[in-house]
Amino acid sequence: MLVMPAIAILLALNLFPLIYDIFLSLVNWQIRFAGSQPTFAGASNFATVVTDPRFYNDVGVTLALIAVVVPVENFLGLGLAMLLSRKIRGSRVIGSIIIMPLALSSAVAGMIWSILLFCSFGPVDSILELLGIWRTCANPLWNYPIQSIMVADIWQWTPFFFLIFLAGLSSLPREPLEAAQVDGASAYQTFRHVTLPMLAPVMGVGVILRMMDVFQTFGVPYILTGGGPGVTSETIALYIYRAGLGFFNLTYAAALALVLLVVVSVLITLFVRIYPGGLAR
Amino acid sequence: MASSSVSGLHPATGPFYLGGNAYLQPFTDFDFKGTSITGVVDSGLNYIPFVDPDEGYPNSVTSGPHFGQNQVPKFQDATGITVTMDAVDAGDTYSLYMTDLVSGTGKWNIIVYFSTYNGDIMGGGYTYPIDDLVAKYNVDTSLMPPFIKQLYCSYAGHLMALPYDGDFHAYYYRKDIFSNPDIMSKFKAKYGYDLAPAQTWKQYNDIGEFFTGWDWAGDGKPHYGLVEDIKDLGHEQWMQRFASWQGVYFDENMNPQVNTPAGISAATDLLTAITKYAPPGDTSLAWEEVISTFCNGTVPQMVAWPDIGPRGGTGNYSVKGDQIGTTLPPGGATVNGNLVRRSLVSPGRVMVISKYTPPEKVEAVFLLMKWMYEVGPIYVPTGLNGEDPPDDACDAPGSLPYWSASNTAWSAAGIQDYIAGAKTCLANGYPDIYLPGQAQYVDSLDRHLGEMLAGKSTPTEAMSSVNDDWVGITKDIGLPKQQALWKEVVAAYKALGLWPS
Repeated sequence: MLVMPAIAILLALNLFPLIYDIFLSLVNWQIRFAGSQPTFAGASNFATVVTDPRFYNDVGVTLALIAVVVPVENFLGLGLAMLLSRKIRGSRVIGSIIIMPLALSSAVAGMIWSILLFCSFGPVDSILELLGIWRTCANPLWNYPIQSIMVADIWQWTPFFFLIFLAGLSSLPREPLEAAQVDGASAYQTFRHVTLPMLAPVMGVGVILRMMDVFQTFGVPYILTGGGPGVTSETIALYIYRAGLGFFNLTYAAALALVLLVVVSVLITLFVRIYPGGLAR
Repeated sequence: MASSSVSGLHPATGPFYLGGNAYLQPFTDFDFKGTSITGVVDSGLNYIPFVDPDEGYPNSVTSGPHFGQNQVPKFQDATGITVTMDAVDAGDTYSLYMTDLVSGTGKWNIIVYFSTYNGDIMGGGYTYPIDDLVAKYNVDTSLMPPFIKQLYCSYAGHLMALPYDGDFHAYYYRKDIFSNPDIMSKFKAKYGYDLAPAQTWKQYNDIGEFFTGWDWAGDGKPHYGLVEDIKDLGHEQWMQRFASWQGVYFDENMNPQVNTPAGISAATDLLTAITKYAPPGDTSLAWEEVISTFCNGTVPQMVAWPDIGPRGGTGNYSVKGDQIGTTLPPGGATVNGNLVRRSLVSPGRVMVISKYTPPEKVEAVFLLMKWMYEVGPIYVPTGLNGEDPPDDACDAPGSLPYWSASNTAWSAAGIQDYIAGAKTCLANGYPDIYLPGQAQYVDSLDRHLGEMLAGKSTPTEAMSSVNDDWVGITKDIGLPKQQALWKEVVAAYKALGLWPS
């Protein structure tokens, strides 16, 4: 009984936006005109979504980001966690430095990498030219926009995996690891056959959370490339923002958001089903 | 010529000349003491004329290092009207203003917005017509070029706004470089005509080609032929060219006219200029970086907004005001033997009264607009206030000392040269798409032009894609409504001689 008010507030905050979004997706409403009223549109907004080449482009961009950044962040985060889980001098300080990018907003991360990658005065361009890797002013923000976003995202979110793996490693039972040592397993064999399987649920949760995050990626692409050139690096979240608040086409943005919700739900469900060993230990 | 009577004050005859506090009389003649009004403008340089926290009070309207800025406290003191002025990030203005208006919240009485939103805000029915107020309060609009008055500040035959900031496009060139004998002879030898400020887009690209890839500045670095702002408002670079090729966005029945010789020529000119003669990384340069590229001597010419001259005038860059020439952007089409040269006047800013303003406050709000139009500092750009002349008041007799005081690296002759160029541009103004959904139409332009500049499509393919998008956008918004609004805009085009014959 006493929790009813809290539940009511939570339902209102969570359910009402979803219900209103569904309502908007089912109407035509040129809300930009004073005094305009909504009219029932059925599934026409959804039909527009599924025939919109920009939607498919942006989902493709987002999936490309997921396909690269999530495994790379996973791998790097695990490696860093393995290194720092040993008792080495300065591990706490190093750990604090590693997680600093995670404390930044995505807009700030985007701004930092915008300056770093800028060809006229950004250091990355000069260093890579010095190393003979590319010519000056290769303009990565224009010529390699998706890759630029990937670099910024990996820099910012590797610490996320680092943290969850660090916590996971510290909570692993010691006995299987000791038993492996007693049996003469090498460090690699111990990692491959004992540590990694025990970390699998943690890894799975981390991957799911990051996949959901990347589907919502807005700040870094918005600041770094604006989704350009054209829509080459436009994520689906950026398109929804543009449709809703840039064009004031709220009904179409609502339909886009719902279709995205379905896509993400299906993908996550599939992932959970096929993930080796499942997510429960 | 503007009225010289006290009640019809305008900067042309206003505070610079009458002296004392005579300019206050029109504002104190009406009693709105105790009225509270609210307003909003985008933050940064364009907020400073309203509120400049660094200036402090009581600097007078004509003195102090940022003279003329920080008008709100002065207006409050003069009229007894309390003003709460908000500032929002420029990138958020459309969504915030539209949310306020569409929802009926009406948080702000005076809204200062980019004129590109005219279609949505004026066309959407969210503003008070001010024809009667202009007459009642004797606002002198005679110095507004016809384009500014009839298209920039009007909609459907009514005056809806007073101008706040006039973002015209001008062609800037390095006078010293263009008059260098050695450079001139090399150019003539290569192209067969004299080096001079570009009159056509072909000449603009020729000059760009000539100055690309060698050290014409004598500083040991290779330089380039031109720079343009593609990242922030790239579609405007196409629109500028499109206007000169006598393009119109739609025909009288709202069929897009971008996939036409005018549209394709504009795209082709732009593609050549940016991919061949602009510095590497031009497509990623934000506006301040574009300014620096010209004002620090990397390129000898550019087409851009009015800021360039005053930036040189500040003396903060290696290129000073007197080294910069200002004239109309290059032309494209030739009609009856005359080259069509126009200046895209966009985005700029206008001041309107929100339709949600309570009736008893409307005139108090208008008084603030009148103050910012007549008494404010917007006619003397300083490079510090981000303001650009919206009309011929920039040439007010006696204003020169104020230009000079604010632009210490600019001689009187240089300033007058700039003003002459500015007035020519304003007199040949060409509008943005003043229709609801402007953001969607230009988003399509930005996308497809971006793909074209990245080598993913040809100009013809890009314009064809834009054409298809625009048909869809018009259909989504509602063809009958768009046709009715466009008809009003076309009427203004025809009255101004902008409609192709």
